[in-house]
Amino acid sequence: MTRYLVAVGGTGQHIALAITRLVALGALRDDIELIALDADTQTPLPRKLEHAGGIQPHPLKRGTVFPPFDLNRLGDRTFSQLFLDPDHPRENALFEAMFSSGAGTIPVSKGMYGTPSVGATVFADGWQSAQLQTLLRPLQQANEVFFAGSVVGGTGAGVIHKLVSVIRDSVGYRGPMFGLFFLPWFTVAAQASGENDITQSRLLRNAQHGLRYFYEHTIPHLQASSLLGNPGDTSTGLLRPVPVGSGDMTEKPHFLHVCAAYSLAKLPEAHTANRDTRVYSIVHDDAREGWLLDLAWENTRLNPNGALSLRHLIRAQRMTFNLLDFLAKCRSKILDWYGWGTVKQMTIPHTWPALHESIKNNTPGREQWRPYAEQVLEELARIQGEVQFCTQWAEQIFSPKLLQIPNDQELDQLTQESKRGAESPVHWPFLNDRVWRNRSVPKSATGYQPAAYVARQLAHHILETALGH
Amino acid sequence: MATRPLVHLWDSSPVPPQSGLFPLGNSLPAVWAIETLDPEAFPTPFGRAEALRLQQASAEESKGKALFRHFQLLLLGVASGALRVEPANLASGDYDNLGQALLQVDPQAQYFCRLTLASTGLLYGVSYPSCLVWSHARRTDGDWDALSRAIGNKTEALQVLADWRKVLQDAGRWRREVVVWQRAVDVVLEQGGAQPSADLRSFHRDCRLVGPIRCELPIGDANGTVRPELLYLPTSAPGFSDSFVRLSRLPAEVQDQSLLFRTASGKTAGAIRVLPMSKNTDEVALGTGLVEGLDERALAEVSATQMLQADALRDLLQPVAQALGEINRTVDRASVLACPALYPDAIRLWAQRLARPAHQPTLTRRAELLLVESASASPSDAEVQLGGGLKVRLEGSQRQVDLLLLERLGEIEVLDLRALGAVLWQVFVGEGTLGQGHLLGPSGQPLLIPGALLEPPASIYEQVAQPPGALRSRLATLQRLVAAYPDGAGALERVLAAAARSFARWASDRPDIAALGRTGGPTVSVGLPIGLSLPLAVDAHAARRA
Repeated sequence: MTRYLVAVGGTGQHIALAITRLVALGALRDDIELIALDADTQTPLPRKLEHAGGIQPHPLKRGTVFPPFDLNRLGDRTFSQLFLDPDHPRENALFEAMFSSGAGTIPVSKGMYGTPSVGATVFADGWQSAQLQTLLRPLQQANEVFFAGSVVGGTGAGVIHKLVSVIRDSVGYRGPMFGLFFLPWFTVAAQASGENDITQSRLLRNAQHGLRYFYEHTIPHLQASSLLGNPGDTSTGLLRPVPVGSGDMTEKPHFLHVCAAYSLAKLPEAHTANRDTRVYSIVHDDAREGWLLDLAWENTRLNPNGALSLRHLIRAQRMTFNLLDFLAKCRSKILDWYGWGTVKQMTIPHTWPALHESIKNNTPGREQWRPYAEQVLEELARIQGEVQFCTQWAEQIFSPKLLQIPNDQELDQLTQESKRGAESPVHWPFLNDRVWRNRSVPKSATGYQPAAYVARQLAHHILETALGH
Repeated sequence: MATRPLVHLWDSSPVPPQSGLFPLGNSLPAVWAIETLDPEAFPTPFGRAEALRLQQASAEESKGKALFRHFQLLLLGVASGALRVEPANLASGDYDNLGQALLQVDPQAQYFCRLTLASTGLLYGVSYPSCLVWSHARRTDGDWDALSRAIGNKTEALQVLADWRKVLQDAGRWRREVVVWQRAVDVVLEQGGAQPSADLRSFHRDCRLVGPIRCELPIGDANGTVRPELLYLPTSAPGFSDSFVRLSRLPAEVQDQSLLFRTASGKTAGAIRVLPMSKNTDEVALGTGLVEGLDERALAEVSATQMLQADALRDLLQPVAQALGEINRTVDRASVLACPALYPDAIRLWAQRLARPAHQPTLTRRAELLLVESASASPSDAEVQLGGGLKVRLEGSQRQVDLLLLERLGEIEVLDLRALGAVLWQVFVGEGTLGQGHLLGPSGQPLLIPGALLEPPASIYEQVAQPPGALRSRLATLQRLVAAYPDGAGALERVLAAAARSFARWASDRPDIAALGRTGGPTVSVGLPIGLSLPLAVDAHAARRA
C-alpha cells in the first residue's frame, strides 16, 4: 500500500508538515510519500518541510519542495514576460484579452500573489517540465492519491484543478483520489499597498470563485474531498485566527491542519461507506475541544493494535522529550565523570548504569569512553530535536493542558521535577528502573556499535516505555 | 452551539451533534455563492469565460452587469457586421507557449474565433464553448462606446439574430434551460423586442454566416444532451443570398486555398475559402466554405441570363463537403436545410438556392434558374396547374423522368410550354429541320438544348416572351398546328398538345383557338436523352413547298 500526498502551495505544505509529524508520532501509517509543489522553494516553510526536524528518514520519504514548472525557464520574469514576445503578436493580443495589466506584472517565480488564474496559466505552461514529469511518474503505482492545498491563494488554487486532471489523464493513475482542501484559514494582517498584494478580501474572493470552480470542475475527478476553514470570528482554545504578516513565510501551526490529516485517514473509509457523497467537512465540538486527541487514528508501528489515542501518542513523545531533555541537562555531569580519570571513576559511582554499560560495551578501552559518551549525547540531542519537532507543534496547537491525560502522575511528576534540571531526583531512577532496566546496548557480533546506534536504541527504550509497551 | 462545521460563513443548517466527518453534499452551498465576479479569481486562464457563463446562467438578472453588457455588444457587433469574426488555431504558428498552455487547460479551446472591430482590427472578444463569446479584459469604456457607435441601428442585427435563433429552434438546437449562452441571447433579443421575419427571409436572403464558433449546443435529442459543436453566427448582409447566386454564374478557379470567381472582364467578384484537407487540422473550424469578399460592383457585370454553374460549383466544393463529413455533418440538401446555421455559406446557399431537391420533378433549366433567382421553392402540383403548366412522367427506353413544364408561377413567367410550342411551330412550318439527329433552326442553331429534355434555348424563350407580331395573321396554320397535336392518353402526347396549344394561343392572341384543318401530314422524329422518340408534325403545305 502506497499513499501519495500531493501538497501544493503554502497551505499544502502546512498540511504536509502536520502529516509528517503525525506519521512520526505514530498516528498515521508510514506508507505516505510526499510530492510537494510550490513556486518559491527557498522560504522557511519548504525548508522546514524538507528538514522535518532532522528526522531520518523523512516520515514522508522525502520533504523536498519542487516548483511546479521549470524555474530556470521562468527566471525572474513577470507573468506577461513569460508569454509575450514580438514574434507572436496574435498571442500577445490574446494574453492581453485574458488578463489585466496588473496580473501581467506578477513576478511568478516568487509566487502567484493570490491570483489563481495566473497560477493556473503558469502551471499549464510548465507542468510538462522534465522534472515534474519525473516527480509525478511514480504515482502510476500509487494505491491512493491525496491532494492538499487551498482554494484561497494563487499557487494551490491555481494548480490543483489542473494537477488532478494531469495525474488522471497524463500520468495515467487510475486509482482513487481524494482532496484535502482549505478555505480561508488565516487572516492577512497588513493592509494592501500594491495592486498584487494579498488582502483579506482577496482571499475571500478567491475562496468564493475557487469553491464554485471546485464544485463544478474538480469534484467529478475525486472520490471524496474535505473542505476546511476558519469557522468564524469566535475564538476557542483551538480555533483562533491566524494572523499572517506581509511576506511572512513561516509555519503557522493550526488545529485545521490536524483535521486535514485526520481527513486523510478517514475519507477513504467514508467513501467506502457512502459513494454518493463527495464533499465533507469536519464538525468540531466546542465543548470538547480535545475530541480529535481522544480518537485512535490508524494502526501503526508505534500503535499496532490501534489502542492508543492521539493524546497517548503525543504524551509518549512529550515524556520522551522530557527524559531526553534531562539527559541533555546532565551532559556536563556525565562528560565530567568520564573526564575524571580512572581513580575517581572507581571511587565515585555513576548513576547511569545502562548508559555506562552501553558505552563500555562498544569501546575498546577507558580512554575512548569520554569521546564515545560525547557522541552518544550528541545523538540523543539530535533525537530530542526530532521529538521536539512534533511535541512543540502539538503543544502550540492543543496547549499542554488539553494534551494532558487525567491523573497522569508520571508525566506530571517528570514535568514538575524537570524544573530542577540535572538535580531532578526522579529522572535517573525513572530511566534506570522503568526505562532501561539494565538493558544496555551490547556490541554486535561484528564489532562495536556506533555511538549513534547506541543513542537511538536507548531513546527507543524511552519511547517504548512512554508508549506503555 | 456545541458543534459546528470547520468552514467559513456556515449558515444555521443543522449539523450533527457528534464531532467528526460531516457530509456537505455535492452542490455548492448558497452561503458560498460568489458576491462579485472577478474573472482572475477563477483558477483557469479562461476566467472571463467562466465569469460570463455564470452571469448568463442568470441572464435576466445580469442585464446591467459589465460582462453581460459586453457580451450583448459583441453579439450585436457580429450580427451588424461591426465586428469581424476570424477563425484561429491555438496550435498554429501564430501562437506559442500561451497557446500550448491554453490547450493544456482546455483542448476544446484549440479552435476559436477572434472578434475584431472591422474598421480598426482592434480585438474586442474571443469565442469559448460555454459562453459563446467573452470580452477583452483591457477594453475601456471608450472602446465599448466606439463599438456601440459602429453597430449603429440595431434593428437589422436583432432581426437576423432572431431568425438565426428560430432556425436553431426549429432544428431542436435551442435549449435555453440547458445552454446558458442561449439563455443570454434570448434576453438580448427580448430586450431588443426582436421577432423572426416572415419565412425567416432575413436569415435566408439577407444574412452572411461567420465563424464558426465552437460552442455548447443541444444535439436535438429528447434528453437535452449538449456537446461542443461548430456553429455559424449570422451577420446582416442585405441581398447576400442573391449575390451568391450571381457569383455562382461565374466560372471558378482554385487559387491559394480559395475558389476565385472572376467576371468576363477579369474582375474578382468573390471567393469561397476552400482549405485543402489535412490530417491534424479541422478545416471547418478554420472557416472552409465561407464566402468572402463579394464585390457588388463586379457582380453587377454578371448577366442574369448566364447559366448557373451549380453542378460545377458542387464539384469544386467537394473538399468542403469532405471536411464537414469529417465532423459528421452530412452534406445533402435535406440535411443542410434542416439546420443551415451548421453549414458554411457555400454549402448553405448552394443547398438553399442551387441544389435540385432529390425526388423532385425535373425542371427545365430556364425554370430552375427563375426559381433560384426568386428563391422560390419547388411549386406544388396545384401551383403548376394554376399557372397552366404540366407535370408528366416520361418513360423512355433508358430511364423514366418526372418532368415539370411551367408556364407561370405567381408573378414569374416561365413559358416552358410556349417555348416548346415555338419549336413545334418551326418544324411544322418547315423552318426547323432535322440534321445529324438534331433539330436545327433556320440559321443552323439547335432548337432543343442538347442533353436537355424538351427544352429550347434561351433565345426561343426570349422570343415567345415578346408580342407575337406577324404570327397573328397565320391563324389557319396555327389552328392546323393545334390539330396536328391532339391531346391523347400518352404523356408525351399531352405535353406536345399543351405546347402547341400554348404557342397557338399566344401567337393568335385567341385563348380559345380551335383545332381545325387537315391532319395526317408527314412527321419527323428526333431522339430524346431518356431513350424516347419525339414525333414532330410537318404541315402538308410546308412539306409541299419543301
